[in-house]
Amino acid sequence: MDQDLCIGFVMSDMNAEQLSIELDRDLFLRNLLRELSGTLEELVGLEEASGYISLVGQKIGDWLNREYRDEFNLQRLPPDKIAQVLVDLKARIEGGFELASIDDQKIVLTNTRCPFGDKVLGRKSLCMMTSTVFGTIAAENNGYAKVILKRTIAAGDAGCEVVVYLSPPIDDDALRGIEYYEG
Amino acid sequence: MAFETLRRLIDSIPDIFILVDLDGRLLAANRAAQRQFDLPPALQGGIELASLLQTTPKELRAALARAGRSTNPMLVPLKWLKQREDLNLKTFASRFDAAALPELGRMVALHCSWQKHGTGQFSLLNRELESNRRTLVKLLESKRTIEYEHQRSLITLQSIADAVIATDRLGFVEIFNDAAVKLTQVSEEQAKNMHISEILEMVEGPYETEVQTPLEACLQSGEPSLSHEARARVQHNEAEFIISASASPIKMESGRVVGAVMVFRDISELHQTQNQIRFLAEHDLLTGVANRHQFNRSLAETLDRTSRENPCSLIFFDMDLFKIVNDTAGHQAGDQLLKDIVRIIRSRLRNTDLFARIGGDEFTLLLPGTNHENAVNLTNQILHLVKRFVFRWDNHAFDVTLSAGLTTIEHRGMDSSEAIRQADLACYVAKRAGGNQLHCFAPDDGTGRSNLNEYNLLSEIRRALDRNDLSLNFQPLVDIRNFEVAFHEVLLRMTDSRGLLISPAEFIPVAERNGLMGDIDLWVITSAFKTINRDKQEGQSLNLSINLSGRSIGSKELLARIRELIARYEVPKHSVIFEITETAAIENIDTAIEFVNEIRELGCLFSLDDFGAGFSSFKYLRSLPVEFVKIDGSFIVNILKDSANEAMVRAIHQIAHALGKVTVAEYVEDAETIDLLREIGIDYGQGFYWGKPTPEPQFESDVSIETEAKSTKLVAETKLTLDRA
Repeated sequence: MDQDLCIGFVMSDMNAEQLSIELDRDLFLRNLLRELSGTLEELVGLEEASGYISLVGQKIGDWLNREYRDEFNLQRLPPDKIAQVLVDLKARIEGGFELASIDDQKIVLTNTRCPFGDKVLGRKSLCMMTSTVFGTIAAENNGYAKVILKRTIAAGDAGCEVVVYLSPPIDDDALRGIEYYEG
Repeated sequence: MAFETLRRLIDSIPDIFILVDLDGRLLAANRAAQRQFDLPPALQGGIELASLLQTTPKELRAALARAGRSTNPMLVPLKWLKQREDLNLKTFASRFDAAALPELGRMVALHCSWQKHGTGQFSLLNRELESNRRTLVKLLESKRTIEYEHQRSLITLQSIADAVIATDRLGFVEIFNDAAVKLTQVSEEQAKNMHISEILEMVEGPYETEVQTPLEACLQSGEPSLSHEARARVQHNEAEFIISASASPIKMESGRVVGAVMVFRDISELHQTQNQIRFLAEHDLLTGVANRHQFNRSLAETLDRTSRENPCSLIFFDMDLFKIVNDTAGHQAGDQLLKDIVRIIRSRLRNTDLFARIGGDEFTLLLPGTNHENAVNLTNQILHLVKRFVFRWDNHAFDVTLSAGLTTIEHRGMDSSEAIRQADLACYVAKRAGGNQLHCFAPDDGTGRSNLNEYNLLSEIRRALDRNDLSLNFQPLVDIRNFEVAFHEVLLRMTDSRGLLISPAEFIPVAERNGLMGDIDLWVITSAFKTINRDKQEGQSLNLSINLSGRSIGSKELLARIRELIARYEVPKHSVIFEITETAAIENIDTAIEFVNEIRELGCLFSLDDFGAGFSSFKYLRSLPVEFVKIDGSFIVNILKDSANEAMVRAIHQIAHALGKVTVAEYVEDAETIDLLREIGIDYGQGFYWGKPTPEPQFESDVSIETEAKSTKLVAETKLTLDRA
């Protein structure tokens, strides 16, 4: 008897739950997101796919903003709290975001681990989720925000660098990024 | 400026761009949006976005609020009213802040694009392909139509009889049809490399000045060149013909001339025919000089330009004794004589002079720009030349002379008929003065009563002959023994232009002097024969006695005409007697005998008229082959009172009878005279006793024979004599 067949025979005798398959809800959802965004990008292109994801991101941002405000019991979150929220919400979904700097002008965040894991590679539209969620939360509390994704893992960079301006920049960044306003 | 540039840019793209405020009021829309939703160019915030949508206002507000929160374009689920079912409009919206216009506040930019994915793209592609396919089908159809039209045009072009040449804008040949090949003897292949001027050149006018072809004129002016007649010369073989040509430019829609087409045909034959017709209408066929019509026209034109400084002279020529030539040598000789005279006169003329034949032997000569003296000199030269000329025909020689009348006009506007009348009257005076001379018109030419009377009478005779204003009367000639009407003498009557009767005693001498008796005799003979024919058709046998003038005796032309008329009107044998006077007969007795014999061979009889009034030579009576001797009326009128007359009548009768001829007494007016004539033995009588001349022949005499005795013996003798004749 062929050895492989012999092994197969042995495994087929096991129950499904005994199998070492790497599958949990998180992985499933991340895969689902990756496939959805991939399909969207293939069908309508990156630009338009980003438009769809922005719509989703805005709703997620509004939801999370309400959650954090309620927990802080604040009508509006000040910039430092905003920075904490942005790092925290990423940490809760297994992202590796850290606060690089903060002043009245902007919050700079870096990231070494994407919440979507390696599924984000080649899926730049998913980064729009981060931009929209960050921009929505910052604008709802600050009245205005501008998010510039300077480096992204999705684009092949080693890590992400995200700048959240709290007032319109006047330097080179004036012409980059996406602006967000209080709804 | 940048804003304007941006607006123009947005206007130029096919996607829809709409700018609204957060309440949904339209602030601006690009052209695509204006077209799609029928929006006015200037919106001014008066239009609600909701009015363009099926989306509820609540949903719209929520969508705008969401979009207004980010500059990142976001899909908004709007359902447009004018959205086509097969093509969905997908709408993205984002916040739009115009930094230059802060007063506008927060705005949302809506960007609608046609669905680009899935079936939409396929549908678009299908739509495009279908559109392309339809365009292609139309193109193919157009191509087929153009090819068909092209073929049809080519076949039409090659089939038509007219030559067609089409060139480019520089005049180089592009189309050269079969008719053009045939006409020019240049092949289509040769022609296609040539300029029109290398194929044809056109010349005009007496000096054959080279002119542009209509095609070249048309290329130059850009306007059609209408029907044009000119002489064309083919360059390669120098063939020439008259062509009728027209040309039209070929223009693009912009009006730019890109070529021209010339259509032409050879009208040389037509031209020649027209020239011939024109020549025939304006010239005398026998002599080739102008005819009366052409002369009158030119004369009127010349008189219109005449002045003291620019006088003109008019000469009227009439040949003396032309009738003699015509009658004795025949009309062919007469025709030749006319040609010879024309040749002689023309040898003295300038190109500007106009010479015409306006009647049988009448000519007119118009000398424009010629004064009286020069005209006199020229006319005398002509008369001299003609006088020196001797006309020879069949061993006969005739001396020919002309009479000429000259008038010189030195003022403008004289009527051409008056000018001709003056020259004619002057010619008449020259003729009356013996002929072979020139008479210059003087105002008193017409005041001499005899001249004027005779001239006027002559005009009346000519007019009566032209207009058939002559008529015949018939007087019976009765058998004295039984009073039966045997013949009628035809007597000529003429009315003038006022309708008044003119006595033959007046007009016959004038006609004789002016050479018109031949025409008059012919008219009388023709009318008499027609009457015989008419009565014959009606079952009535009519015998007529016709007077012939001395001029007609010996006329070969008249003889030919009598022969022709007898045949045409089927004149029965012995139904016509020709009366000739004794005087005329003996003037040229040999000719008269020959003439009489020739006519007798045609079945006609002859009577010697007025015998006793002239020479009364019984010798001639013996030699003349006549059946009747008509004793001159002057012997009869007084026969009862004058015994010498009675003796004369008896002698004539006896001699005539002895020679086998029948006697006729004229001017018989009473019964006593008849008794005496019967006693003498006269056969026939004529006079008022039996009847006056009437417009129609009377077949019963006015007097019955019942009162008279009958002489059957004489009747038998007369019949015997007639049968012998």
